[in-house]
Amino acid sequence: MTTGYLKPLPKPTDTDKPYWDGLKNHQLLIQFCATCSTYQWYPRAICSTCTASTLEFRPVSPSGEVFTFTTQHHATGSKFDAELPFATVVVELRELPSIRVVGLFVGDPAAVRIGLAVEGEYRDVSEDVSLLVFRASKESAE
Amino acid sequence: MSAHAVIAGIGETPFSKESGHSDLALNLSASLAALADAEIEPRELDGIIVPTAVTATVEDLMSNLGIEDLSFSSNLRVGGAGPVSALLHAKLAVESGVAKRVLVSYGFNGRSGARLGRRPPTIMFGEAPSLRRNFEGVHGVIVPSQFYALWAQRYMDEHRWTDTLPMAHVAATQSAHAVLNGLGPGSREITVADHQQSKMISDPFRLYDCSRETDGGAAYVVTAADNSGERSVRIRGVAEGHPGQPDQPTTRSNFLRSGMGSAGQRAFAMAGWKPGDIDVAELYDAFTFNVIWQLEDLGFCAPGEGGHFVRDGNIGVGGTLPVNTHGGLLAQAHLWGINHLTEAVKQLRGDAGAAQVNKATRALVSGSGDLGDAAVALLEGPHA
Repeated sequence: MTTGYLKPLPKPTDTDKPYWDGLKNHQLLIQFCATCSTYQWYPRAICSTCTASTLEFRPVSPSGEVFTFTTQHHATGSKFDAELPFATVVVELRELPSIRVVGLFVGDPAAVRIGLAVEGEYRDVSEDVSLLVFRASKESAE
Repeated sequence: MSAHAVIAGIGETPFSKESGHSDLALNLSASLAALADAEIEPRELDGIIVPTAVTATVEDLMSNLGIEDLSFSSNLRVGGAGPVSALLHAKLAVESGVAKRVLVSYGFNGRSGARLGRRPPTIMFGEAPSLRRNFEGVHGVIVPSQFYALWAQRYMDEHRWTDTLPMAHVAATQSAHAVLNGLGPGSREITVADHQQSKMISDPFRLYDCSRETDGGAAYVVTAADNSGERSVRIRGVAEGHPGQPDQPTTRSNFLRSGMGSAGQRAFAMAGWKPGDIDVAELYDAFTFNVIWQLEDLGFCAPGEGGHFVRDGNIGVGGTLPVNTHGGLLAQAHLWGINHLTEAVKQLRGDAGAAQVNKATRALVSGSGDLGDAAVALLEGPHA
């Protein structure tokens, strides 16, 4: 079976597998500690606030603001070279400002700036894997 | 009697775009030069530190140098902090009595052997699966220019930069130093305009914001002061610092906090020095922005003032704080920063040639890894 997707794919671990399963179901799941009620990101083996193992994953809206970004212009030897120039954004989530997630920016990279409001989308890149991507939210476009 | 550790000898290979030698041969050439400089026979070594994850192993070095036993060895994995961090480890070994003579050796064909972009990008991710692969690599963030661009963009926004001229001044200043130094392959002076017109790599970084992947090796030997010669350099302070959430920088609560600030504070406290005491600074410069960032973190200027500091001409030889007098990783050679230590020793001995800083007696050397691990050394010359 060929998926046609040649860029790097995640290698899920026992710890972050629920996140990848969530993306497949078009949900952004962030790790949450039921003992101390703290969200943490990226997924870890235990709660880094209280050391409890009572971790679960909770759905969060994938919208937020660009915290930082870089637009890549030069080839890196990866399959991303076919899309140059492209921007990757680090997004501070609106519902959880302490959490930042990373994704490719869909749209004109020249439009990206820090503070830009963005909405997450789910891109099914293979039968097993969906990735989070971001585009400027409508309010930004107006 | 308490031992005080010193840097007793340094060695370098030629720096080139294609060495024609193996990584191990580069290590051995640099190590033999450092041992000769320290007037120590290879068999007298009882400690070896391999300061990076690339390059030769301790066992390779033992076998080739004919060393029958060691009382101390380690292999550091803190990226570009390794060569400076190794000085802390060597000092602790010598001053505790665990070892008397410790070699720190680096040799790597960083250009002809393993250039970024010419090898499978998976190598950048280390042992898969890793956090960098899963949470950055799949989104196209693959090479170090991108990692550091994320920091630089945020810094520029927070400090309301409207252009990248400060970074251009770092590139131009260090290129002039590299020409004075003369050891980098094909070093030539570039102007601020050359920088501004160079190809965009990872916005905001252009070609001349990026360091020069290079083939080469360098080494140094740490011994107790009473076993060393007149050219030995004293270690007044040396310390590490590390950021929280080290393995995934984009999630850090304090995004622009690396380990550099706390490493610097610890080293200055150990030495009883302050930033104004430093005559010359060799700062880990994987990218131009790193120099500006560190000038602030190390207390040479106030937060947000790094851009003005470099544009005002302070960092040139002859300025108030000459920085990267050999050209640095940007313009001499990217050797994971071990060449910053060897250059600092040359400056303090008065052996730095055309880039010699007048009356240089106190030097700061920094190292930092892509994950924000940092180390700072404060060195004092033999004539202080």
